[in-house]
Amino acid sequence: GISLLEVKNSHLLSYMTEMAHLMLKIANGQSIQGDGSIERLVEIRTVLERIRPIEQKMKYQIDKLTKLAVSQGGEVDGNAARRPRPDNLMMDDMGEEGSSDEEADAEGQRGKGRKYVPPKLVAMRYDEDNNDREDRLVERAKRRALNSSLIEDLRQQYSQAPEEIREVVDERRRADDRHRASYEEEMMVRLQLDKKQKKAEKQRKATSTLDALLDFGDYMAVDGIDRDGQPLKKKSKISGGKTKFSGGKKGGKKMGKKKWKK
Amino acid sequence: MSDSVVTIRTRKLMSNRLLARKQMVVDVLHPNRASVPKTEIREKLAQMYKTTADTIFVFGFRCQFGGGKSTGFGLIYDTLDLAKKFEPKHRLARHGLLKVERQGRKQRKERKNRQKKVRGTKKSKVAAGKK
Repeated sequence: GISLLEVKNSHLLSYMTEMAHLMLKIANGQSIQGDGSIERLVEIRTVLERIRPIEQKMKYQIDKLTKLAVSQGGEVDGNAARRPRPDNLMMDDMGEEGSSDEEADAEGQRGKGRKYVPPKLVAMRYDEDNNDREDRLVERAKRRALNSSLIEDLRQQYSQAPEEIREVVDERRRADDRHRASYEEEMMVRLQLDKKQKKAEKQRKATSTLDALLDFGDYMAVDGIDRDGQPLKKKSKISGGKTKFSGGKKGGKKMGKKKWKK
Repeated sequence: MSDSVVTIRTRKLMSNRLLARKQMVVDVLHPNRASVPKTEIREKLAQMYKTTADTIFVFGFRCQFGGGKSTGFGLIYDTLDLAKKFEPKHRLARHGLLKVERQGRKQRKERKNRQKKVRGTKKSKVAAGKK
């Protein structure tokens, strides 16, 4: 038996007797003011209330013992009842989860020796309210419109700051050129441009005057969206900025060797 | 018009003992002039490094945008024999040290087309002349 339950039992019994005693006194018309029973009652009450949460926590054990006692009949060996049952932990439908956990564990053990590489993620802001696609598009369009050249011109008109004229610098292309030059000098070879790069070079050099005349520079922020206000699909990236060396290991040599006859 | 003076500077000079040569990057400054021919550059380099011009091989000259400056590569071998041993054949041919014997363009193309009809080792057996 569980000693806690015995204590609870005895206390309940004493509580009942004291209450009965007080009831008897009241029934006989005597006053119960200052009776010793009241103090004892209070004491028993506190003990019972303290027992209650402990009993809650022990509920599982008590239930198991009672079940065992019912099934086996008579006294039960407490230690055997309290033996851990890991089989109860695994549920049938979640058998796969258990096995996958094992695998993950094994892998983790294996990878412990390897160097820790943090994931290449950039934290993006998640706005719970503005989750609809339309709202987001509208927001984006508004932001783009604010930065369009129309608004920029107006801003320039009314601002007191001096006018700035900046050179359009393509950092990536400059870095690429520098990289290519250093490679060529290091390896003592000349690299060739492949077809895509040649086309990009030609495009860059051939700036037609008509295009320059008609280009207002994203005047009303309509460059990225079509007539209905939907964003245009992104075209393939211009290969001019990113150079892929066609030289490779052999440094500029194409095809196989020519057959030289002496 | 070689009135304007031609200046030659070398950078990244490295002596490559494995191939018995000195290799460097050659900067040529030629204001008011078209690009300098390789023979002239070789002579100037010979003066600078006190060797004969025949052991000097230069290649890969590219003119910078705007003109007036070209950059290329130069190799100076210890002896001509070592140069003949290590230099690629096309550069030796440029100096006239190696004569390339090969059939005319038309013949080569015809041979190639005949080879296309055959598979495997028989390709080498395809006669150069007409069958």
